[in-house]
Amino acid sequence: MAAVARSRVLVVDDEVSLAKIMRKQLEVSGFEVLVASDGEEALVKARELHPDLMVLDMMLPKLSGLEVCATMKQDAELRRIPILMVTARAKREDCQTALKQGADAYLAKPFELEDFVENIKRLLSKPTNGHA
Amino acid sequence: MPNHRAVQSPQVTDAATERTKAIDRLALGLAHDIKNLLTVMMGFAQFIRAQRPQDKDMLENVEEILQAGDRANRLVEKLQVIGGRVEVTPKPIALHEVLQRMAPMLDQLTGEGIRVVYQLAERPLTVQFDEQGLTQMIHSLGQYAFHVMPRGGTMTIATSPVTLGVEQCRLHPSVTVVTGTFLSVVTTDGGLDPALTGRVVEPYFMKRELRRGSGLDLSEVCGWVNMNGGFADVLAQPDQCTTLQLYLPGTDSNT
Repeated sequence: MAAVARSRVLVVDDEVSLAKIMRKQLEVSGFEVLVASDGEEALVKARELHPDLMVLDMMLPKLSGLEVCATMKQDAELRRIPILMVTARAKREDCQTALKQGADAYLAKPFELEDFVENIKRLLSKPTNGHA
Repeated sequence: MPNHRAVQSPQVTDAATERTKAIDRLALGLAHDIKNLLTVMMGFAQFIRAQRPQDKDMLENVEEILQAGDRANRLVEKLQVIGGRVEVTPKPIALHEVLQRMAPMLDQLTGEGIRVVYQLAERPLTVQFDEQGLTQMIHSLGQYAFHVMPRGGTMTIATSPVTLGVEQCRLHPSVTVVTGTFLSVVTTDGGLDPALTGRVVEPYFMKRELRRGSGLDLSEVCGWVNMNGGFADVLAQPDQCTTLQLYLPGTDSNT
């Protein structure tokens, strides 16, 4: 459990205040938090800083969350990083698309912060095998 | 004779179709952006609540924020239904069982001044509908009745089996199952100008133009009906009552 509490999470959302509350909650929960505000920055930081998990908004500037997800799952180094996709979109097929593109889990906005942290802990507790 | 106007008939002009599409895009775009902001507001409120569990006055204020956020989220979900962008999973549902189960909730929603009367078909009726959507639709019908009869009245809910005729199919070409159920809701709301029946399901039309109704309830009802392969018609008797007639598809595929 100590390994999970010190894990590094990369939060990717272009809504600054939203990224802020996710960061605050994760830091209080014992995580180290990095932030990116667009899809390209997300990939750069993932490659340079090696997060243990990525929280990825679906609608992002430059590269969408789905494109980031697909890119990571095709990369030998990045595919091991579990991805929690978050979105305000309503359709169930968006969830299916996210999972097909390689997201490991999906959370609809607005979400309870408790659920948010529980999802992250659950994903981090799974063995990483590099596959979605 | 009540004026019969199909409010879900296909748009007959390109301009009208484009306007509808533009409104749908606006509704969906707004819904998405507002949900993001709601996540921020409710997230910070939850954070404060967790950080100051011993401060009862603060907690009371924070709960007000969270409850308002929940109501705002519900409104946004209505927008998404109206825009037709909610995934539905129609399945066979015993309509009368749902109405009977929801009767106490409808009584509470409509309040003491409104009497809810049921005129259900003699035999059980099965509709092919999304379960959550049917529940939310009936809930919105109750809210609609409450808002259009501020001085009280009667809400009559009737069901009848139906096989659509040629004219009805012509008016509603998107319907693929012709055997189903009419769910009719009659409100003694003083009636409606027949010229306006085609507009009553427009978001906020009744609230803004007629100063009654809540704004989105009928639009949401039509959204659910359309997404499940049905349609809605409004029949108005000036100075008397208004009938909302919802066609809910049955389980037989018989085009």
